Amino acid sequence: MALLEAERVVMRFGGVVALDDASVDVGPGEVTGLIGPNGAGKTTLFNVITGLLAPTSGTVRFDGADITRKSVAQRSQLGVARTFQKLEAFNSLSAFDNVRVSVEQNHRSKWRHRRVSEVAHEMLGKVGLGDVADVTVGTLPTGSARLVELARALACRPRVLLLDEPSSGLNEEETSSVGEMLLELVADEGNDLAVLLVEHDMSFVMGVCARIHVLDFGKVIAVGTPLEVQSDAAVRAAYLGGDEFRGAYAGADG
Amino acid sequence: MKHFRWLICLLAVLALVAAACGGNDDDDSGAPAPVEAPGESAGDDMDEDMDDEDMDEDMGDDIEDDIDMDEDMGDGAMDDDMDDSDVGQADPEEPEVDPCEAVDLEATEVGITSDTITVLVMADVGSPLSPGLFQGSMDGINAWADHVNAEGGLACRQVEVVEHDSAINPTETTNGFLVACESAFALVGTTALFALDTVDLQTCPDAEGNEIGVPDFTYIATEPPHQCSVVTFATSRPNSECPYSGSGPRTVQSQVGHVQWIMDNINSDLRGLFLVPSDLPSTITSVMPQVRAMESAGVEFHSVPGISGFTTQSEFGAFIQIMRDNNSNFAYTGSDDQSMLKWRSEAEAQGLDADSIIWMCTLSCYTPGFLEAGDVVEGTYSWGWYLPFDEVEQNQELADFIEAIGTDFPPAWAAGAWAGGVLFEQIVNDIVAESGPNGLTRQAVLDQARSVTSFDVNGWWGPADYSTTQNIIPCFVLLQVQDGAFVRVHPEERGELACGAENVVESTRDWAAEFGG
Amino acid sequence: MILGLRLPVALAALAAAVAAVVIAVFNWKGAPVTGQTFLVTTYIGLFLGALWAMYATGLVVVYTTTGVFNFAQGAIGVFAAFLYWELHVNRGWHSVLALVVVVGMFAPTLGVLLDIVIMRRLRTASLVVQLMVTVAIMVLLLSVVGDIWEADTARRVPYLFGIENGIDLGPSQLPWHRLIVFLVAVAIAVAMRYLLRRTRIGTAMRAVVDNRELAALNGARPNVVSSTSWALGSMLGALGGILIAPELGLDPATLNNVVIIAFAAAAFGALRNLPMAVVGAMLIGLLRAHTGAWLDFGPDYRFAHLAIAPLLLLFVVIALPQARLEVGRLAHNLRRHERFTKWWEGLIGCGVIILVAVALSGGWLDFGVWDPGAWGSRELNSANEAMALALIGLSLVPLIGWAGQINFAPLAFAGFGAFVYLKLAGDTGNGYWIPLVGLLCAPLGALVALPAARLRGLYLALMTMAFAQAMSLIFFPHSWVLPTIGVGRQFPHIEMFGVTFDDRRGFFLLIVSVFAVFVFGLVLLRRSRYGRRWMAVNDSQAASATLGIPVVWTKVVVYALSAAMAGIAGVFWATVSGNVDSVQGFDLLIGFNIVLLVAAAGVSIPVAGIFLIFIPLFTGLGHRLEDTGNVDFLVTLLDITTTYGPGMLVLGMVFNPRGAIFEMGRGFSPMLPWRGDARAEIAAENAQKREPEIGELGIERPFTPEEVVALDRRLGILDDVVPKEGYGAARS
Repeated sequence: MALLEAERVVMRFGGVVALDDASVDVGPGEVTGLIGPNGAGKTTLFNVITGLLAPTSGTVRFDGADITRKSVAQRSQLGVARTFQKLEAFNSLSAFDNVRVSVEQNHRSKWRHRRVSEVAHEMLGKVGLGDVADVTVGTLPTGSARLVELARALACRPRVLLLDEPSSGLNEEETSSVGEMLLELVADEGNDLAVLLVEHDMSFVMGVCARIHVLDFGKVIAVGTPLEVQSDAAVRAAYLGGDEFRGAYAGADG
Repeated sequence: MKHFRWLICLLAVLALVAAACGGNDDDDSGAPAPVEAPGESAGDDMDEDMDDEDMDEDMGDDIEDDIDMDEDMGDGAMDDDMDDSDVGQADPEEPEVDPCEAVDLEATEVGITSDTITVLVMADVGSPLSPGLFQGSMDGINAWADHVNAEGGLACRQVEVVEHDSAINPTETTNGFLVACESAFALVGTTALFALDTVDLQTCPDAEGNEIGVPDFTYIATEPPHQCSVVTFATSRPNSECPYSGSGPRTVQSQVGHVQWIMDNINSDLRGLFLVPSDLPSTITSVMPQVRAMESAGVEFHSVPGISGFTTQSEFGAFIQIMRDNNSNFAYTGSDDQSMLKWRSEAEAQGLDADSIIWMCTLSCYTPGFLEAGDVVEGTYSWGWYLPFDEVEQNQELADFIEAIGTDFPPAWAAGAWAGGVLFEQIVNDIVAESGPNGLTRQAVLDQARSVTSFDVNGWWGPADYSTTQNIIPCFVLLQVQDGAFVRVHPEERGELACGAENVVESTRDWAAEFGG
Repeated sequence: MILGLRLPVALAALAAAVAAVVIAVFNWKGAPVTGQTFLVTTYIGLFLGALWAMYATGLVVVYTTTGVFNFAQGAIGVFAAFLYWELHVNRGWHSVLALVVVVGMFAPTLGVLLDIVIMRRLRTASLVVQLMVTVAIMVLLLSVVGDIWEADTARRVPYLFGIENGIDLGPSQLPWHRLIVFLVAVAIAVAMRYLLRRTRIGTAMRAVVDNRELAALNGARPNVVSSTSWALGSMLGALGGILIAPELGLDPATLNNVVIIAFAAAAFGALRNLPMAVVGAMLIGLLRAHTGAWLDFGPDYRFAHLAIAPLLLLFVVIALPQARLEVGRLAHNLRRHERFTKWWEGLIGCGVIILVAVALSGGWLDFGVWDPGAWGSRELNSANEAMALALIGLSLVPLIGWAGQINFAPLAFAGFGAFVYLKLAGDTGNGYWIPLVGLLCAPLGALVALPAARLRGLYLALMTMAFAQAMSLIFFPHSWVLPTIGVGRQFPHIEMFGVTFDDRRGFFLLIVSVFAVFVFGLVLLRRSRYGRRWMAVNDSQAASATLGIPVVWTKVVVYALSAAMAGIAGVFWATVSGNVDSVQGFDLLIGFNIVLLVAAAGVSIPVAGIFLIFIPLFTGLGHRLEDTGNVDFLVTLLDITTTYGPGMLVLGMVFNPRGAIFEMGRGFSPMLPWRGDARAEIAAENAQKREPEIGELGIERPFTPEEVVALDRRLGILDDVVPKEGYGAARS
């Protein structure tokens, strides 16, 4: 059964329909992907799932229970953690403090028998930032800052981890290590962890995700394994089609 | 902007330069008049006050009195207008003697040296809320000091003025008292709105270490700590019972002669509104007695509303409406000239027949700014307790003041400060008459001041008793705006004030409770 | 939903209406209710409302077209009014000519200048910085006005359209001037709405705020547009000032206070809705006129009718819809390794503070070229006052510096603390009550923050301002709160540890010690999990929430702490002189300067602490300078510094939004004009994070909306579809 479900979510901003009957499910023990062209509504869906936006209609379910009316903090308590597409690290704190804040907040509920600094160091180590622990995050390159956000999210000991473009700003080497780390995580935690991943880096997505949802104009247009999605006609149309640039793409693979 | 930092630097440098060239005006601004050479003669006659002859003739004034003009008038030698040259004129037989040369002058007290007497004038001048507010008081004291020095000085010494800006700030005002304590003989012309702490003023040690305080010849005293200070002698006559805890009944005297005259001569049936300045509890309690006093004289008030500095002119419309509803014919404001201006403007705006109303204002309307408003203020009455500024030919003191202050229509506080200066001067001269120019101590000044039972600024003001805090000047002159100028209405003769005990009403009530009651 | 309002809001509105009726009944003046009176009162109310609507229009226009809430809107009006007086009354220019020059030439120039020099750099700055800078501009403009036109004469601005004639309303009349002004105000509001909603330039102005990059792609030139916005806002402010000056008299403080009413009106329109802002202004005007006509609140509440605007603002804040969690902003000028003061360093620092204060005041320090000597009563008196203010300022450090929240009411909290102390300690001056005072003030801070903490920081700031104003008008003048001043002291001397602090030197040392203890406490707090949490919330509310941090509650706690500290400081503030004037003593305006200073001082505890205590020491030394040195120009410099200093410092924040003084941590070099290399270094560090604006890329061809969408889908150049203000939460 899915650990996290978003069912028929509709999100309207005035006249703009950002999400149109979108349904997404994330199973435990695997990494699920969410891809689509820019402006498709991926981050909006994240915001609805984490509670930062209230959907116009639709339901969000966590472990079977309806959490659509729950607050952001309550969802965090249940075990929903995320990173942000537009970096939302605590820029004036050090990397260590970023993670430490998260650990402190969840100490009693999630890390009761361990010391705060120990946990924080461990999380930083997981993302490979152990040697810049004391550096102010605002002075770190974007890629490292994203890793700090990831460590911070991990420090919540989440059951569902929502990652919004984690590889943005990372080079190939870093990206692949993130991918490896994710796979390790889900393998270690087993049925206790589900990961939903928004990404533009196709090789990253295809390599890490077990299942992929494709979003376009707020609708889910395809769901399936990487292979299935790659060969889906609707997906290709969404990414490559478009009348206005038909001429420019005439020579591209169809 | 690339060059912004350069601009800032330049501005900072300019500021420094301006500051260097500007500089603080903390010292005596008056040019000291040539000092008579200190005498070597052994003469001891310290009668600097030559003429005991009738001051009145010299002054050329006549004060219409119903009460006994005090003997002090004859006793006290008011010699401020007598130069030493007058000596020769008044008494041609005596050879010209300079009594100052006869004595070795000493530094007998704080603020006194062998050739200077230092006085401190404190006024609210530099506040960011109302910059330049009471600058007139400083001007007044400086003018007075220049005048005194030009006439030969005081107690054989030159008067030096130290200025202190209290900036509408209680702490700064206390600082003024502290500075005066350390460096001035007395405070003269104080015009500070927030003298809330007068402990230092009253317990300042003199040259011998006795904590007797600094004599304070202030113009205004707005709050009980200042009003009830034992060393304060206020020319504005706050007329308040002391001591006073701040709440409860208080005995207060009020002037009613002006309204009484109007009722006797213009309209015996006065009914209308009295505006009370309600910004501070002290403004309320100082004005409410006037309301009840007028009522006791027979005026009927339909409403006694409070107004503040924030009242917009259109809000006066409510008052106009009350006046219409009740057919009022009397409109009195206990607040400032702005309130009367707004009131009359609003009346005009609302089409109220201004001629059917007797508009009346306190002394605060007696300003050139009020007249500049033009036709809208025509016919407004104002009243005061000293001769109007244009009657220089009727009173020498007033003439000296106007000439020294340099303008025909100075602010009221300049006059009040000058009066404080003259009071101080008279007291000093009395002391010198008795004990010589080396007899000047703060104690002596305080003792002498407390014995002044009638002082009238050489006939310019109505007489006041400074031995108690609880009395007002029982005189008034009624003025009216006619053809764009203030014209005296009563008494009719120039140079006269209407004085009498019947002008004064005394009452004991809880004035805070009277308001809004 | 009832009448378009959510249920709790409708209930609150109902409760407010009932309360209003009850108040009205109890305070009925008993004046005859005639149609005439009602008519006249109503037209007066509408006229006043129109005046305030003009200011509110200017505020809303500036806010929707620049994103900046302009605290200086009123001050611009004040300047314009004085300038108009100067030209028309003092120099005799024709009224129309003067009007054209001031409104048509001076005002837009000022607006453009403001934008180019200052506002443009604030675009990415935090709310604190934006607000502080406009407050600084307000203070500076008022100071300049006060210096140019001194207060010794009363000035009146004549009515533009004459007041003697008008339309007859029974025996009364409605003067032409008022009718015309009313129509003009309404016309301007209508014109502005039309401009913003229906014209290209208006849409461009709004677009530049909402999404600058999209606007640039669509062909707008953001810089030109924002300059136009500021010019327009400035003109509106100027016109408002000239029209309202005849009503209020030409006095800077009075004229400036009108802005609070304008804020309330603008808030009624949620800062963006012009028609509602006008409605709000009219509502306030009508309420004020009618309460003046029919009600009499008695001496204790004699200023109650002036409190209508702040109360309305409070109500609006409560009634507004739920918060949106703010997105984080890029912090500027961060150091690679932030170093926080260690606890023992804090302890040493305290000791140093106390030692320096003792040494200076005792005259033990000799600077060689000048020996100040021991401080006398006067120095101590001034230093005590400044120390009390510094203590109040310290209460703002966790709030402004760490949590990025603004509080314009530190004096109100201080005053409340003084009041609590008076009730607890009575005549005895027992100092052991003081910690309890702090404890009792905390709930007040929480209470104030609670309604507004749900909202954006701007509303929180406005709310604190409204609260401060309401306290000054309703609470402090009440005779039960502060006894009327008598010959004695309202606030007795403090007694503690068997000592009565009735001499100034002892009191000085007491305050300095308390200050040092506070500094130490703040150092500890900063290093604690609470300090970290506050900075986290400051950096990104959205991220904090997703970690489980209760954002609203966190804000409330900081306010409670700040109120507690301010309350304790208030006890000392009141005890300095012993008597506090109920109207002026805890005034809003004093608060502005303190807030400016603290904002300029920045976030670092040691820096803020040193900076704040520097002022009293500087003050004391300055007086010694006057007495012992022959350095008049330095004294004048001190005057200028005190008057213009806070404002200039905050303007310096334009260049370093974390605090002008903070920049000194980098050494003075970047501030010196010839050290371009130091600045280049900083710029290079920042460039790593900052991406050039699309508008700066030199792309000439304006793109059609369809092209933009297509480009975005492939390249992701625009922000996602999230409103700029942040995320609207289900519940927070």
